[in-house]
Amino acid sequence: MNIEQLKEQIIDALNLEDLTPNDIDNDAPLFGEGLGLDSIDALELIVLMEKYYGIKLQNPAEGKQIFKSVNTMAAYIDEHRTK
Amino acid sequence: MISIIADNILSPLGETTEANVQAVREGRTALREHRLPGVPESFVASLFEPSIGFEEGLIRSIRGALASAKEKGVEIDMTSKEVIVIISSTKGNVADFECIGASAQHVASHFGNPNRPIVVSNACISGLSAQILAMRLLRTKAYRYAVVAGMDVQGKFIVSGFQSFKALSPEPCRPFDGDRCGLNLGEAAACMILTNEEHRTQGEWCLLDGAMRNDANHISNPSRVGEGCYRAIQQLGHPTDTWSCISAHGTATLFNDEMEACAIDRAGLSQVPTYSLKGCYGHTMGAAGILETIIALHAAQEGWIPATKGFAESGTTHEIHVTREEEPCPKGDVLKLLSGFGGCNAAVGYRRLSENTEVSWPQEPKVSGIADLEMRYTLRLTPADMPDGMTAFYKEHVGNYPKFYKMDPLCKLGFLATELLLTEEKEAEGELTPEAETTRQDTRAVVLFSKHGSMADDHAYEETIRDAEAYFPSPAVFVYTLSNIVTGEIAIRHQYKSETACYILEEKDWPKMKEIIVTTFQDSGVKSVLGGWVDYNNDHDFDADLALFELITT
Repeated sequence: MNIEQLKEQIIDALNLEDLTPNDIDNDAPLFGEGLGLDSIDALELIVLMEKYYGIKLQNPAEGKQIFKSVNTMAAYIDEHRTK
Repeated sequence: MISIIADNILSPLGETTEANVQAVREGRTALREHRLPGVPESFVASLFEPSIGFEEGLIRSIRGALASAKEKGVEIDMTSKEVIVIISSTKGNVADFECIGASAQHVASHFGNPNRPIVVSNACISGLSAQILAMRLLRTKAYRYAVVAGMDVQGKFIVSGFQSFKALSPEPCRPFDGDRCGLNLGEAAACMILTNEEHRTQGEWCLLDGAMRNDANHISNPSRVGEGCYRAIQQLGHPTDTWSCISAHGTATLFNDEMEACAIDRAGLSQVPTYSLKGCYGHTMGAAGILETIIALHAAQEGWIPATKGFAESGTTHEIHVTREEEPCPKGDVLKLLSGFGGCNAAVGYRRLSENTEVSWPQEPKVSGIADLEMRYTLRLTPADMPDGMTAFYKEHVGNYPKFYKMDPLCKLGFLATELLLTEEKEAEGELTPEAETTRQDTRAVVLFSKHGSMADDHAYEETIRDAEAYFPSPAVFVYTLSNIVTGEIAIRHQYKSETACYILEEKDWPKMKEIIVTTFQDSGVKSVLGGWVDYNNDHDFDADLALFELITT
């Protein structure tokens, strides 16, 4: 899993224009205090996982665990990716 | 007093109001599983079969309401300047990317109406917003009749968007129930004819008052404490014991029903029988406020309160009285609620005219004319002001609001113009005390007009669903395909919790905009309006022309 590439995909998908991959701490929370992302961002991350990694997440509630940080997201993608 | 003289519902359950009222009473529904070409997943919805186009549906429903008026002995001459047509829709004919204003004009012209129709595009509260606008315009006596008609057509565009939001229930929806898991979409057209004529007949329903309030919280999630919904109910200033029933929004999404139950409880109405019609019709969007009002009033008139189809066990933190079965309807007033994306909420109260009404009628609000309107500050932004584009302009003039980057061009334009306008106000008037700031936030409405509305973002969203091989509907793009989100973004940024409204006009027409803006002050809670034109066609063709309005005080 290329973490830098994932960060770039996140920045692009969520329009985090003021940020670079270096600004995102791999273990910092993505939601709440971290990057200040919201529920629409969470849905957009679900689209990102399907688009680039072929992962279909039916239950958005699962996102809460998966999107805790860049590292947890990368681990989930490693385990479930189909492309 | 503004009364309702005739109505019509055209839905998969019937072509007349009577047929629809009967169908609801029998607990019928047209909700079933559907598939659409180009949409991989099936969905449950209530759709016209065969399909009915946007303009055709509106025309048929208006025709039905006119016929119903005629049966009651009221012949309405649609070719008269005294009749205004108000169309309620969120997406109009989006399948063909037609401006809703143009569709509305076709409908008005079909009936030979000489006035430019007004389109209310206020997300899911549009049907109540349209009634509130009609009520206010009729109070000014500028018109004698308002024909208020609403419709939305469910196609690939809307279905895929709600799917991307994970908002659709895979089965018939269950409003307020513990097992609810989302909404169903629905199609319908509905029409109400309102008048300020004093030919009141017993049994006729009148609009007591209506209010719209914004959560100023999030563009798609409702306030967890139902702030805007609660404030809209409170603004009606109505004694809690005179409501006979509440026709709720009750979409059956987790968040809507939770917030609505909270708002109803906070308003002291937890004992009032409350129901949702979404289990019969699904969410008919632009038609919902009109259709659900018509059913509510006819049922109340016949002495019954509809069951909430799909509801079994309460699933909201705040306990309210949701109807499981049909209940007898006591004498009293009817409250209709709606909430929508962009943080908007609406509440409208209705009372039936009868000879022995014991409760007193509320005082009619003060009605001001355009001459009473004071334009305090103005701000105009066109492409000439931003040679390097909106992002560069934002970085130079604002720069501290990263959400800006997430917005569609319409919201960016409205946001930037508002920032500059408010800077102008602040420079002239100085900083407010915290108390004065809170008062301003509670009393400043945002009323915007546009021609293209969200059209640019509509095209951007279409790009995400066009290709079957690369079909990735984007929720972040879809949410901005509602034209009123720009009012929500401004409300959130400045914590404006008063009315927010979005209207579509065929062209920038200041007299018409002022005519509507001044009616906003009929809401006694509105003390100033941030209003005007915000239109984005493309990077070379956009125009924001905003002003701050107050009433001249003598």
